[in-house]
Amino acid sequence: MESIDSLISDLINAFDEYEDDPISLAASIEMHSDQLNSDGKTSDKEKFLEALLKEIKSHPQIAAKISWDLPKEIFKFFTVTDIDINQRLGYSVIISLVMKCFNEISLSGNPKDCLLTGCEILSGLSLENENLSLGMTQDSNKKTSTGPQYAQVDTKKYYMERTPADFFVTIKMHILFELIGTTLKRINTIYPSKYLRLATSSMLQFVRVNSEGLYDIRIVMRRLYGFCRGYISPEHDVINTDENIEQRGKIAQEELEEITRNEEVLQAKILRNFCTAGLQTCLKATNDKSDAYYYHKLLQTECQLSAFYKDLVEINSRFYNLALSFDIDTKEEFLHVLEESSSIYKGVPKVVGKGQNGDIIKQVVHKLSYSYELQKITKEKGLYVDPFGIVLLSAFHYMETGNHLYPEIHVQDAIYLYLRCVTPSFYSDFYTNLSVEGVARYWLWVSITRSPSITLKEEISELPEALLSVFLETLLLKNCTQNSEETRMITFTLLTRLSCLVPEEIAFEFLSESLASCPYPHGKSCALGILKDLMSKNQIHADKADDSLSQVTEQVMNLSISVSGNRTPKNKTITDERPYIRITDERMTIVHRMAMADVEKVNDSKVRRSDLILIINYLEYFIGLCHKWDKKLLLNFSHEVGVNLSGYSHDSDLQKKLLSLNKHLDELISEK
Amino acid sequence: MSEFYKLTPKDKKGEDYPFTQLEGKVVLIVNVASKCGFTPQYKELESLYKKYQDKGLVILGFPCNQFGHQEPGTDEQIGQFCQLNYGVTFPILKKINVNGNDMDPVYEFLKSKKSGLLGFKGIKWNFEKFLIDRKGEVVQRYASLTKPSSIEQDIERLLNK
Repeated sequence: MESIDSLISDLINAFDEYEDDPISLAASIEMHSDQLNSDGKTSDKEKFLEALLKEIKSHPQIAAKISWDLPKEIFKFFTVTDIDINQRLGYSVIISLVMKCFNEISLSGNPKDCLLTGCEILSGLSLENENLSLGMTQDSNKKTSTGPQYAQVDTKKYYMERTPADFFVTIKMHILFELIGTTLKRINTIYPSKYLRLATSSMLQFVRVNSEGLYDIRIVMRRLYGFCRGYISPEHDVINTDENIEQRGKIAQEELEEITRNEEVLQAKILRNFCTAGLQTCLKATNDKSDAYYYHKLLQTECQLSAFYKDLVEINSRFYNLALSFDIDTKEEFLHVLEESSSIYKGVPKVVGKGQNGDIIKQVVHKLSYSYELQKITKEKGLYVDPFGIVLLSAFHYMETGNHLYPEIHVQDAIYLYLRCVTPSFYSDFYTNLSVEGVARYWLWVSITRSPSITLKEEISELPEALLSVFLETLLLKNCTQNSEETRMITFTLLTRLSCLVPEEIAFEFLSESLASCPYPHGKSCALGILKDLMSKNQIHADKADDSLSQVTEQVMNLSISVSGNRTPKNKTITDERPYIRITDERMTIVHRMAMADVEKVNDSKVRRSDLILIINYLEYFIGLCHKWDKKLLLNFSHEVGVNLSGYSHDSDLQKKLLSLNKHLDELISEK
Repeated sequence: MSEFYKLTPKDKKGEDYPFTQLEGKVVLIVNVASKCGFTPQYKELESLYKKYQDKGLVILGFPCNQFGHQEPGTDEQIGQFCQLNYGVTFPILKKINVNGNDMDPVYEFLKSKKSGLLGFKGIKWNFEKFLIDRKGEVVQRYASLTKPSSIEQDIERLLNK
């Protein structure tokens, strides 16, 4: 490699020699950079960047001509060998020089070129690409893509160390947002919306690609928020430039005024779309806590949020207030989302026969929302606020004000909303959004705690059977993959409450089908727990009267599957004679069949701990309902447990518990 | 009579502050916050107030906590903060919301009369300003970035009308 002094001398000469030949100048800089980045020492790179910065500063007109190419070249100096990602940013001379170079480019470069380049780089910026360009190994790639995501895991502290790719993607994002923001203000145009749209599209693309993998999404949220709040239309600064006057010369004054008016409307629409779409995309992989927050309020207990969530609530609050300042009528928009969600499912037949027809209708219900979203993509041409962003804002309203945005929500609408928001994720990850799911659950809670049970039951009974089944299945399935233990428990309580409200036949069918085919053993355990509750607890008498909110809350407390033991209700509740699900011969046979099938599975060396826990739950279920159950069936089950688990010794604690429960069941059977 | 004079917000003690008392005055209304980067604007606002108070200028500060939760204190604490740190003598009224369903009628009126950048009616941040002439007409709206001192000419023009 040439000496650094010689390279710098070449660089200085290139700026003089190729003053009128920007392509040659750009090529020269590229060659020098590549040479340095393959062989050079860190100190040489620093010297080179310093020289480049000096040349850009002293030749702004030349720099303007190569501003389309410089950003890519300068970013090449971000390498793991030259930058210690564990140090503070200020310690790295290279980072500081790169930022200074970008600052010069954004101030003296051709603004349109710079904007296009900035948007192009930002759109293609991803952890995956960054790993490739950093020359990371396959393992590093894996770490980035599948490592524990801070935002997803419900922890109170940061555990994960940032990967180099995450570090460089984040810092590049900062630099590019600055570049785009600055150059956007410098573009002389009477059509600013065109450039604003370009900028926001690239930012959204960046968020779409990276929201699930980035270490801390709050950084991106702050940048988006800052961009939206700080955006000033160029008309206020530069519309009276020579270039624009020249453009204007060809346009009549009246026409110009109309263009200006239309441009204002367009920019406002772009910003509304961007802040709502950006918000929901950022929060795709982050749990929302509004359901937990409301649940704790119902129980009059404190909702303890981790530092991460406290900070997130603050950022969300900013987005909520930003939406207000952008004149987004959150309530009107939310009502529109509810109406749209309900319209998706209006064609579902009320009653369908069992068997094949029923299954087909269920499949259709599963796919309706997804198909609707696809149709929307192809048909919708205007710029609208993002419906899922609006769903999030509806919960931020509650977190911000303590009041529900739409307390009158009907349970039917809450169910439509849940299905609409959640089911598309079964077909495409693009539609997976943990935050939106959380808010949909929050609205389910609101809907079932704001009306008396009798009203809720009536409303729910009007829904098509297939739709109800799909809804309950979806809620259970999604909960089985929930990371947060607290949210999982709260949602189990929600599911129990909802199972009490749906017609008995549908509730039993849902629970028995879950026992038969839920792919998660803990999902089966949950279904079993609910079934036990519904078969053993008598219906709350308040069904017959207008129960107040406090009584409804009491009911929720009764059903709460607490993480830390059982909760004692404050008041004694008057109950009916009839349980939510009656025990019949047919139902006993069905449950028995499921239980036997699961017991047979544990006679296998590949058995999982969760499979054994499921058998424990079955034993507890039968022990709890022993006095109402068929003796022969119980004997049969107990015998099968004994046979299948006799040789099992992988997990002695569980085995001991299993044997002890089975013995207890045996004793109860003998007493019958 | 202008609709502006029919408004009656509350002062920091929760008592009515009828705008009828502003008839014939030039009024500058500002949504203020104590913990904001723009909070030092209090100093320039106070200077303007002192300079033009006798000629008929009234400045009204409406504390608001909607932007970054930068006005968390009580009305009493806010009043004390303004007096102690910036020697504010112009009226600081009761804390209100300036956007959303619970916005104060004063801001509903002001925003309906004058939009901000890109036609947005919503208030974007702390220290946005509305200038009202002697007839109760909202004549100008200024962004947070606009320093009070740079409004001086507009105020003078209205005072001299």
